[in-house]
Amino acid sequence: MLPEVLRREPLIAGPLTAAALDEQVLSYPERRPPRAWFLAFAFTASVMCLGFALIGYTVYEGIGVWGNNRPVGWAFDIINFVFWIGIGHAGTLISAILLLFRARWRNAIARYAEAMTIFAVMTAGIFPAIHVGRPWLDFWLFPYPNQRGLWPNFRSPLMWDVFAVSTYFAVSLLFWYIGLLPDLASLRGRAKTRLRQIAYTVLSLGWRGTPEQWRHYEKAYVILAGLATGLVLSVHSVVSFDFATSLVPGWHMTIFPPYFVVGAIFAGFAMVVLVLSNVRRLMGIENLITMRHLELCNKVILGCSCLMGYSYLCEAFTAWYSMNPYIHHTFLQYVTGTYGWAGWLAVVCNVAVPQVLWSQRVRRSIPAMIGVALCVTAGMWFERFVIIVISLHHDFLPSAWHVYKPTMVDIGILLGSFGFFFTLVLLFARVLPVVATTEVKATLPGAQPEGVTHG
Amino acid sequence: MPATASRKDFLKGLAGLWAGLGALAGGAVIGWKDVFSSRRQPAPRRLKPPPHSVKRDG
Amino acid sequence: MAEPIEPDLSRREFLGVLGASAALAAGCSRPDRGEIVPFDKRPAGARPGNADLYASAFQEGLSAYGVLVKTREGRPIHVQGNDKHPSCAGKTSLRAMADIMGLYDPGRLRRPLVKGRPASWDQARGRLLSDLLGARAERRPVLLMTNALLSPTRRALVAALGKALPGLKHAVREPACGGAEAAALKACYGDARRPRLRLDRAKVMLALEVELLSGDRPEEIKGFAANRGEGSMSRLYAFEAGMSLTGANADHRVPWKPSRAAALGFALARALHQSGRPLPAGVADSVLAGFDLEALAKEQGADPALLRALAEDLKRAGSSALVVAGPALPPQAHAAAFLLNTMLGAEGSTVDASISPPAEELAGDEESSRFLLEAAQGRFAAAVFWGVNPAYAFPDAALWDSSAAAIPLKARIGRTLDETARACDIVLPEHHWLESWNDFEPSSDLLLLQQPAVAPLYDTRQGDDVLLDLLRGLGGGAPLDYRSYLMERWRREVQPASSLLPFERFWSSALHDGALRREAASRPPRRLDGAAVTKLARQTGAPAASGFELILSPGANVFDGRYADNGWLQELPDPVTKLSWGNAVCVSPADAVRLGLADGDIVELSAGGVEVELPAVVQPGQAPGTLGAALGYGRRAGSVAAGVGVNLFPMLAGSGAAGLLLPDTELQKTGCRTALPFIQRHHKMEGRDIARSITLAKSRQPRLTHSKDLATLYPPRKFPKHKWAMAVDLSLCTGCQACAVSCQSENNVPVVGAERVLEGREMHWLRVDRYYEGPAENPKVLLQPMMCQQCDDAPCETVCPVAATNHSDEGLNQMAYNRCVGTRYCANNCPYKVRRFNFFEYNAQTPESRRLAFNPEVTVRPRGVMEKCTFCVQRIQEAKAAARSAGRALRDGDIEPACAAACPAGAIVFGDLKDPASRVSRLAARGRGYRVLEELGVKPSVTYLADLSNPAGDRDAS
Repeated sequence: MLPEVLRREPLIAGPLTAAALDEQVLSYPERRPPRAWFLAFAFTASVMCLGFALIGYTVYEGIGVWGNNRPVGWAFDIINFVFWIGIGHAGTLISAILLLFRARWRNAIARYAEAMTIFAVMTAGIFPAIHVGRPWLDFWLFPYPNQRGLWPNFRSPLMWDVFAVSTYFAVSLLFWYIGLLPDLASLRGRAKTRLRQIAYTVLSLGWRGTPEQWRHYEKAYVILAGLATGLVLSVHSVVSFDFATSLVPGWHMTIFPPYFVVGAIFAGFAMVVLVLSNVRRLMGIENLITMRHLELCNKVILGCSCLMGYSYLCEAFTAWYSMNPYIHHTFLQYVTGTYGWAGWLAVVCNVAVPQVLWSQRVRRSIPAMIGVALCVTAGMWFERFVIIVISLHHDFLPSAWHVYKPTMVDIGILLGSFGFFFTLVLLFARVLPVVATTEVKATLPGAQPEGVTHG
Repeated sequence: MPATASRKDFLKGLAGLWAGLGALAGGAVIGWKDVFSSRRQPAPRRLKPPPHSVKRDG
Repeated sequence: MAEPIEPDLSRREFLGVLGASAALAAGCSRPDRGEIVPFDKRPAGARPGNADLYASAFQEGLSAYGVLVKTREGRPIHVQGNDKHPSCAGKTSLRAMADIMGLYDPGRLRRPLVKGRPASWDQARGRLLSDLLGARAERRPVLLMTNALLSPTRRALVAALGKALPGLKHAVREPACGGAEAAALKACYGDARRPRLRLDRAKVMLALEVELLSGDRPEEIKGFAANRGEGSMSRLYAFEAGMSLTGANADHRVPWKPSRAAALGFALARALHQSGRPLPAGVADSVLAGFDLEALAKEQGADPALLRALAEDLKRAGSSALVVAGPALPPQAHAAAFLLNTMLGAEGSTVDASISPPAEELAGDEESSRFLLEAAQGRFAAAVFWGVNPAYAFPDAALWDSSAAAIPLKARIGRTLDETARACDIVLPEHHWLESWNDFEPSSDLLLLQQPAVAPLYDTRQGDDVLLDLLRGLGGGAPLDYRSYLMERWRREVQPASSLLPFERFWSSALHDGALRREAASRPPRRLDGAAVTKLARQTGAPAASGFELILSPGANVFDGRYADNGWLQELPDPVTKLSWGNAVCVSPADAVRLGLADGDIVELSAGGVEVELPAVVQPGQAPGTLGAALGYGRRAGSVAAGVGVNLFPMLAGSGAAGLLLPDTELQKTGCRTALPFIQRHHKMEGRDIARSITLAKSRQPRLTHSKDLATLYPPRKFPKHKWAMAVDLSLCTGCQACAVSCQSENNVPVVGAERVLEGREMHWLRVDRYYEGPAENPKVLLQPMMCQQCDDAPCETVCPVAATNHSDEGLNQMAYNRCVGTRYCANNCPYKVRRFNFFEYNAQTPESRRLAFNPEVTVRPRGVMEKCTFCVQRIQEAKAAARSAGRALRDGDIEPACAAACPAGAIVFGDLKDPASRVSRLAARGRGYRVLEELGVKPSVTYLADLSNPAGDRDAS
């Protein structure tokens, strides 16, 4: 045993047996949820329906009901797309990369984080589908043989997006689902009603828990983690190519892929902290998702915040050093133009505010971390606003310069996307076990052979 | 529970289900096309050329 | 034996259900989409799929322009210039091209109205005729108010009508023409004939508060452009209060108060006299003694050296000089211009009165008021208003109301239910000019013929036919229709006695050409009355007024309001302010700072007891202490026009108004603001190399720009047969925007409305960008037509996910509308921002009659689809097909995109870069040539030739 001072905080607070763990986590989907759940669901579902109604209105009337114009061809639509894809990255990093690094602290939060990734990608996927002028022709972006002999243009970054996001969704879903199998089997065993029995039987795909199956499971899990790891870096890089490969001043920068990836992890972890800090209390799993977990997430947020600050400085330096008058002007617009307030908002929320996380007291304070997470979420949304709207509204020919104003439909759809995301999150908590019991069992005291305890 | 339904009843139910679904789908498709095609207006009328004017050749 | 199966459904019921479902399926039918019905008997000469061209003429006020009307399947779809017009040769007025929409105006009256109710022609005519007969019997006068006639046949008809109806009082009203010029002409020359300006002969021009280079002056633009190249270069001086296109294109522009324009003219005359030019007879030296160039320069804050250089230039140019005074200036300024032209020897050279048509007596506001006062006293038995719209445009609305009320029978001959029609008892719907017959005499050596390009759309009659009918009813012998009347007059008076052709051949040939040159009756040259000039000179002194000098000019696009219901002309921005859908008062930057005014602040103007409120615009270059605003807005009738802008005609009724110049106007802030629908919202080039201007001297140095050889990853494209390209000469371009109207007409570009323009969603494929460089007090103005550059390495092509835009092997960037899903990535990646997105269903929501104007060769784009300039690919394909079927190669000049065809200056040239002898190849190789944003490496196919300026003191004045 290590001396007191070197001992790490335990990953599970308080004594816990495997059976008690099962009961704590798996009983949740079996019980009627508390009233708070119904209230929250009603709220998020109405916001979601409002969003969908506005989307239907947009499809019926035209993109003109949004604020997009010439020269700002992309605005809330693509800001929201990039924002939500970005939020998904935390889950994949936690599930996949931390698995490969054998960071055991990921076990309690991986399931929820990965679920959030899937929901975030689903939410993000709405936007490319609806932002086009003729959404009923979205299927033309998919390569399928047709009698016109037409294939999509594979040189377009939007096509790369199609593949990147579909791959991301498919792999994340597969990864998450494979991880769910043992828990689904447990739920099958505990099922009291016929409906549940049938449902969990179907969903668990005949998992029996034999050593053979466990071996396959472990292998598959690691392989998928390996695949997903690449995706953490590639997906948002590909999304950043939408901008980096264009010639718009402010978009055309080589720093974009790593900058976007860092930003995605940053925003994603903020959302993870935001959700888990509340969920742990509401679902009574504070012993499983401990302050240590949250503190580690906050450390990642802090690290990413510093990297974001570095990226901003890098961008500013490169812009100045380039002697390119167009990028000079764009950068001045970022901080002094019509939307200069957004630029400062992004810098303050993304770089300044998270610095409070240097203090351990702050890192371990729920209200403080929620405040910081909200700031980061808002800051990252505004960062995409800055990149997209500010760069577009003033580009090469001053005769084309114009301002952009969002409409109520834009704002309604943005809110609706949050409604959609949180509705899915609530449904997830209601229907599936939110903690990977198998993995957490591996971190129970006594679960591992002595002497190789990883904290 | 009443006596098990006969095979005939089952087939009837199945037919009813498919008929219902078909009608729904058909209505949806036709309704959708109607919405989008009724937005196109009928072709404008024909105008007549002027009776006494002299036009350019070629 | 098997048990019989008892079906639950009886046969009867089954058949019933079958029938019901069949009926249901049949009932859900799709709406009828129309049929393609081939001709059973093809009308003679009809060739579906081929365009027919009819020569015709368009009249506006005191001018007439030759046009060719292109029709398809019987529908006029495009108006362009008449190649057989002797001086304009294929160019025409911007408004002639735009007014095709007047033919298809959904608000057109389709049948006569009597007391607001639909009636038959017999009923309406009968009513009017009986009242006229009654008036004649009672010897009571009848008022006939019309626009300028300009047609000798029409004049003869009105004269004949006047003979048959002795009490007929004919008032000719053109509300946008100020009366000062006519008054000055009458006083100084004895007749009000307006001379023709020969800018092509002018090497030094002085423009005093006059717009010579706007889209409704194609002949002047053509003449001006003849001397704006390296070969021969003129020099233009403009002295004006507001910024006009003339000022924008001038080599020297000086902000100058309009009240001091006359003084400037006389001071220049004095300077010319002092350097040796004799004064004309009757003008004594002493008259000019009080006018001093130096003092004036100091007074107006101008550089005295520049004024001296101007005097020098004028003297040296002699008969190649031209001085023009604008319609808003008082007669004194016109007299000064006449004096200068006479002293310089320009009379007969750059100012040619020998071929002026007979002057039309225009009833100015004073004279019209007298008529209306008489009417208010009940003197008139009836009134006929033909074309004019006094209920809107007459400045004294109260007088109009009282006079209208006191006229027992008011008849209106017009096209729409406008303000005047609403006040009239009988409304007779009139043909549009595209459905009409007439002749016009814009100069005494030219007759233009107007013939219909389409059979009348509705139950309308030509106004001339109405009068002819009345003439017959009043007992004057007259043929049954105006066409016969016209042909009769031509047979009698127009066909030369020496002509050997039978009249029918002569007539057909004239209709075919649309223009007939004639021997102008020789007249003795007009002589300047020195005494009149002296008298006017003595009246010129420093003004005592302390307020702003406000100049009201006809709207650049809507003119005097008659085109306010034309969406194209409302959305086409003012060429200088770039404001669309409304008017605003232009305020100088200095005054704006002093008063704390910004664009969109609503101000109250008051002059002579009349007050109006309208938004303000800070106009760089506006002379301090002056204001400018456009007439023709604030209409109350018209689905497009109603409520757009503010009606400023009432200001002309204020006491102290001297024609279109209101010398003592007060301006007060109201504290309210409004959003202004600017088409272009940012006016500086921000140090970027976009529109270039170089002096003539510098242009003669060896090539200044080198075509940049930029590194690229893309393999060079191969163009096996043709490589289409354009050259745009910024020195020739005056910024008139005729190209934009022609493009809109040819390519079915939709009008989006003021709301969408505010949002930044206007659809113009071709726009004219206008930049200000230098100090706001008097900036240099650069005008640049910007269309799709058809880049060889187009940034839009790589980013489209569905490959809706790609490159042809002839150098065009092609847009496949039916493939576009509308991601708008291409628009984001276009550095020139020439791509336009259909945010709403603009085209499908066009009313039926306006859809008749669509060009069938160009796809009408639905919602959600991107569109842009195609170099008029439909014209390229048409020319290629024509050459192929004629068995010859394509020649340079066979293909003319709509913009190139319309440009009066010939600034836009299209051609094949693979042909080294083509005009575009030669222009692209010129030293002045450059490409916009070339450093991006997109390889645009449009070469711009830098604007040439010819400032004084630059060594090489011509």
